[in-house]
Order: sequence, then structure tokens, then C-alpha cells
Amino acid sequence: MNTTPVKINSKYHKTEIQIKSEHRLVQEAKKNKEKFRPIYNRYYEIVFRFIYQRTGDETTTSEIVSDVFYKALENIDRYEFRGLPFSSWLLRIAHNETIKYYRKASKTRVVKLETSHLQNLTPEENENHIEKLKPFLLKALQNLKIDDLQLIEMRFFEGRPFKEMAEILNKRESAVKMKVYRTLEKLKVLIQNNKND
Amino acid sequence: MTNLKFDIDGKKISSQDINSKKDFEGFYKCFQIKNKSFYQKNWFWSSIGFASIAITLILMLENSKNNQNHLKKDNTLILSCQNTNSVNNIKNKQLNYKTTLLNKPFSKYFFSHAGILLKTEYNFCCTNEKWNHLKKDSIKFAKNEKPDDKEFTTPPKISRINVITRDNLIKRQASKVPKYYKQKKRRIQIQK
Repeated sequence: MNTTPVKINSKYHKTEIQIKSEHRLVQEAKKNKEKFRPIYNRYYEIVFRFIYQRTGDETTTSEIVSDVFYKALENIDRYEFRGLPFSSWLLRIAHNETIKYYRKASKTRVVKLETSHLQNLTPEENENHIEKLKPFLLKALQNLKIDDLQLIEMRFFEGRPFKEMAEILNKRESAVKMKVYRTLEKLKVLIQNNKND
Repeated sequence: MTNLKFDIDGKKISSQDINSKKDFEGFYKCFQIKNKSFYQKNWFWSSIGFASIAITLILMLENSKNNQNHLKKDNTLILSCQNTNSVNNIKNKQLNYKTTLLNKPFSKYFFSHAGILLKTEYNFCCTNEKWNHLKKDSIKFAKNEKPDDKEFTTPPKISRINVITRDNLIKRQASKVPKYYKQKKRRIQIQK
């Protein structure tokens, strides 16, 4: 399995100027919490999509999004600028809140994906061949641990850069990279086993 | 392995739908309600109320304990009156006696143990000439000890005679002491 041709979603890429302007907004919000509005408006959709990807339900997503922004506003004084987009910090809260939701509600975890996403996992396969491979691939994904699956989800289904993934998961970038490659190896073995069965 | 549900090529949500859900005013109002300053919250004032009541009660209890301890200290001296010799000595020496008013229940208790029960309205305890309670020749109690724990088989001896009790008590006790009549020496004259 080759991992190089993953397309990074341009939505998640921020220029240095954009990051600095974001930081200015955060500083203002720290001084006056009413000035959180531009941050709320700017990141609402990003956070919403992140959670919707993992729940697949609009009502539940809206509730979790409210909790995320509530926690963000409550703890904005503790936010430290590390040269990364503010959305990474918000998404870390969103990630934790989603985990909390599934732990509380003990519901089945939803993974929203498109067939084209599967192509990212197996770039060497033809589009026509993907349809045949899909059941094996899904079965292999089902056998992965949830921690490994969310790495695959972030990298190959959402197209996030490693740096952002590391920030969301509160891990080092090198550790995240290593884990992604290991998970892909594991997935490859699982697909092969499924095919043989 | 966790329970997973793969939603492949499922319903997509548009940016318009997402943006229609934005409501900063509502969100901020909720935040302000939930995030009141600690002094604006009910639990703060209720806990302050409980704490002040508790402190007042503790202070009151401490105060009453101190008073009781003070009284106990006073009452340890009274048993010295049991020795009738001392009463006799008092009578003979004719000391200036002074009395101190005691708390009624305490004085009653101690006088009864001493065997000099006084059924007067107020009881008195022994003091010396300098208005101080006697420190010697008295039975003392430990802080949490009950008077019942003490054995009163032998009355304490008084080495100092400046024990002072109420006037009528001295008289009453003194009357019980057998009088000592000095025998007159008979002079026998032998007539020559």
C-alpha cells in the first residue's frame, strides 16, 4: 500500500497570515468574552462537520457543537498559541467531547465516508476494482481498534495534515506518522486475510 | 473491536444548513447563565450561611465548656471541709472567713460527697484569706473525669488551717466534736 498520494484538504491548510489574524481574535476574546463571536462564526462549520462525520446525526451534532464552544469559551484563557491554527485546539475539544458522548450514550460509532475515500487507502487499485474490494476493506476497518481507525479517518477520509492530527490527538507528529503507517500495514494484512477467507 | 457503523456515500449536509444553526446570541446567553461569578451563585451564599452558623455554634460550645471547666476548678476544693479537725482549728483560730458563690448544681454535688450537705439556697466553697481557692489538701479531678470515679474512703488531711467555710457550718460541725475537758489536777494536801 502506498501512502504518498493523499490529498490534503485545502480547508485545513492555513497560511501564516491567517494563523496570526486568528491569534489576534483569540487575544481579543481572552480580554472580552463577547468578542468570541467572530471565532464562533468562523469555526462553527468546521467543528460541526468534524462531529457530524463521527455521529451522522444533526441533532446530536448540534448539541455536541454547543458543548465544544462552551468549553472553548470557558477555557480560552488557558489556550497557548503554538503557531498552529486555532481550529486544531477547537477540534481537540470536539474530539474529546465526541469520545465522551459515545462513552455516555454507549451507541454504535458512526464512520461517514465516501467510496472515493477508499481509493485513498488503496491508490494502486483501479476505481472499478475498488467496488470488489469494498467489503473486504470495510471488514478490515471494522477489525481495527478505534484509536487506529480514527487515524485512518482523519488522514484518508478527511485529508488532514499530520501536524493538525497530532494537535487534535495531543501527540507528537512523528508518533502520529508512525502510527498511521503501522495501521496501514495492519490493514493490509487484514484485507489479505479477509480475501483468503 | 468496537461497534462501528459505516455510512458510505450517505446524506451530505450543506454549508447553508450548518450556518442556519448558528446562534451566537443564544449560545452566549446560555454561557452567561451557566458561568455566573461564584459570588452570584446560590451555593456560595448558602455555604457561607451554613459556615457562619457552624462557627457560631462552635464558639458557643467552646464558651460554655470553658465556663464549666472554670466551675469544676472551683469545686475541687470543697472536700477539704470534711476534716472536722480543721473545722475545729478554724473555730479556735477565728479566721476571717470569706465565701464565694458557686453554681448551684455543682456546689450541691460536691457538698454531698463531702458529707456536709447544705440545704440552703446557695452553697459556698472554701477560700483562703486572700480570696484564693485552696490549692492544697483538696481532691482534684482530671479534665474529663467524673466525681463518681473518685474514692472518698479517707478524707484528705489538711495541713494548713486557713480553710474557711460558712459560719453556721462551722458551728454545726464544731458541735459534733466532743469537747475536751481538761481534768483538774487535784491537789491533795496531806495534813501533817
